[in-house]
Amino acid sequence: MSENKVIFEAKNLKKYFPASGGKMVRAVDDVSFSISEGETFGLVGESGCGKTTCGRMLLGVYPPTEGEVLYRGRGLGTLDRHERMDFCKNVQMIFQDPYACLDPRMSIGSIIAEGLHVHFRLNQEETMKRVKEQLDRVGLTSDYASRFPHELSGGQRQRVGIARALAVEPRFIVCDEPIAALDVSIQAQIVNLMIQLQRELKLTYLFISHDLSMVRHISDRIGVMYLGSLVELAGNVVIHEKPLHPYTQALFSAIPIADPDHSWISDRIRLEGEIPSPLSAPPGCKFSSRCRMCTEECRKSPPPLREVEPGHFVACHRV
Amino acid sequence: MDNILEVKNLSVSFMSYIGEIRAVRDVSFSLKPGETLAIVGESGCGKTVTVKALMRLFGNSAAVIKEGSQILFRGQDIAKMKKTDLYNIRGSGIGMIFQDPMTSLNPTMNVGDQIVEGIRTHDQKISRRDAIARAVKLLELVGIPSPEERIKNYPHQLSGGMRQRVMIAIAIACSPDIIIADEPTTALDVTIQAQVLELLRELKDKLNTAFILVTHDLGIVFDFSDRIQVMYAGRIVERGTKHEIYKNPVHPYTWALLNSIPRRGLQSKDELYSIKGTPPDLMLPLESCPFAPRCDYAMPICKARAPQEIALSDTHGAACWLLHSMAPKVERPGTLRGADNE
Ligand SMILES: Nc1ncnc2c1ncn2[C@@H]1O[C@H](COP(=O)(O)OP(=O)(O)OP(=O)(O)O)[C@@H](O)[C@H]1O
Ligand SMILES: Nc1ncnc2c1ncn2[C@@H]1O[C@H](COP(=O)(O)OP(=O)(O)OP(=O)(O)O)[C@@H](O)[C@H]1O
Ligand SMILES: [Mg+2]
Ligand SMILES: [Mg+2]
Repeated sequence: MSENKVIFEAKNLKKYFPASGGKMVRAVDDVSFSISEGETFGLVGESGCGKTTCGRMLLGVYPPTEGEVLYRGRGLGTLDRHERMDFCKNVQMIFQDPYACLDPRMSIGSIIAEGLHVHFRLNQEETMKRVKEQLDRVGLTSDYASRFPHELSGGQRQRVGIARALAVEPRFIVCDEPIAALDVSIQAQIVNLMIQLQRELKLTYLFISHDLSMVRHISDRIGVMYLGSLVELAGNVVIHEKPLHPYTQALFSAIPIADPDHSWISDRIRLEGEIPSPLSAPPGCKFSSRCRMCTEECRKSPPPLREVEPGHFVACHRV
Repeated sequence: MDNILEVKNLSVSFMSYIGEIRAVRDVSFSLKPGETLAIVGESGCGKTVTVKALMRLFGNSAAVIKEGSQILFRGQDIAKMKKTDLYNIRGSGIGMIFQDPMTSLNPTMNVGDQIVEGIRTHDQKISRRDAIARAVKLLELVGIPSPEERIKNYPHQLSGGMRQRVMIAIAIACSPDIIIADEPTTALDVTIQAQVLELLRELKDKLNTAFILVTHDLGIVFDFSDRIQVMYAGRIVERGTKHEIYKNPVHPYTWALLNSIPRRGLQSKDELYSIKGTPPDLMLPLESCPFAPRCDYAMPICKARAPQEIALSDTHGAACWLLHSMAPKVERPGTLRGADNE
């Protein structure tokens, strides 16, 4: 991996949203990581911890409040018109909310064709052929091209979002919960497709998901976020088998197991204590209010992310 | 105990310009108070259309509940009910958690007002102030921090999982007898998911709430539900208690589905098992077994006639020609994890 080029670098990214009463939602609070060409970087963490916001900052949808995003070594703000076009084609997103991002007045065919028109000069016939290929890849027949988003099931819509992102042959895809609405068999089909494309074309993914087994399967490295911060970062196997941060440990203890005789719901590590809010995060370690190992130091000073083993980073005073 | 819901011969079609799309085909099932029924099946097989039909929630789409369908809620037929009676059942009789939070939440209204509206349509006597206090309490119950601030947020200001939890709060606000939950926890991380499922389980224990749970997550299905119904191409192909489906599944589609759960010990990036072939065409009438083209065990009869459901116990049944007394005995794949294989 080391000889690989870094595609994206997030440097001390912060995103604060204004809230009522002059308060701030600290959605992302000083996060740094880099993603190399051909790798899959998994991003997991509590609902609302800032994963989608991170993904949007990489794409330039949200400008960071502080910090910067480098794309192949260049700040997003410094790209010229031509480079900007190139960025739009090569960097795609699969959205978490498939319905909200599909124009309800456009047919599925034209939704997928839209990017093709912008980035490739194809004639009608070639475009239709491409659209059909894309639909077929995600397990939909070509009949779906003439349908409209509201006429599809949740999982069918999600697959249209995937087909649209893949259609323009991007180099990098932010996949925000790309398989959440799919059944296990189609999940497998999509994940197999993504891995195959990665092998053949060296695609790079930021893979955001709550499905920890799938994240492990597809990712090379996994970052764990909690309340706007990266609390642990390591290789996919290490983080599953040797999680060090107490939040990571609790998270990985609650993976659903399909077995009627074992209740993962009751057997998990419970997080007690007050759930902090990004509106009023605790001053020290953000996890301190729910941590079983919390000390005075944890409540006072925020722990930095440090490398405890080669490639394994954790932000915890107690490790 | 009496059934709180009885669905008989439910068929739903969409009359589209390309023809009739038969999304739900002659589906029957029932539900007892306090019971949890899970509906599983391939994407597009008709789970959402089935549960939306139970409340006739089709908006202005071209959906038609076919003649002969019955949806008996406490003995009254929802399929034939007047709009005003139906309105009374929505929310306080049957609550719904929708698959797509963004489409069912109102983007122009803050989430507090949306919960309050839900509470006040079914409890006209409650003051606005009390209703707001209730809304805050509900958001706290579903694990949203700083609820008194969050009620002022509009849906787009919330994360995906927060929006989903707002919907859960709306659905449980009026303590309905039945909660229909369509993929209720897909946007939640596993710890919050477990917390929300525990909350729902508490409702069931305290108020005897019945659940219809639609989900792709078989881990949730086998933990949270009592009975499981497997759908394929708009039909129920197998049903049983969760132990029957886990230990003794009989339909080849159920086998394929259970086989698709990623196995432990798989190497990263290895190819995952998925069911081959294309999904069924819902425009076709039902003259054969819809799974036959993708089934490893298909016989000539499967492509000629549709199988009827055969009962294996009071609770277990499946629609498959392999269960016919004259059919050859086939062994289920040895790779199924829970199955009792001799
Ligand atoms: N446009 C916005 N305006 C105001 N606040 C926002 C906006 N977008 C996100 N937030 C806030 O930022 C925080 C992080 O949200 P984000 O969507 O990044 O979370 P997430 O990790 O993707 O969560 P989930 O897993 O639930 O999707 C949340 O507190 C959310 O309310
Ligand atoms: N308004 C509509 N017009 C035409 N066809 C529709 C409409 N709504 C749904 N369908 C079709 O009906 C079938 C069943 O849809 P449904 O939403 O019930 O699937 P589902 O089982 O919930 O799938 P998923 O798991 O992907 O959500 C699908 O094939 C879908 O394309
Ligand atoms: Mg998100
Ligand atoms: Mg659905």
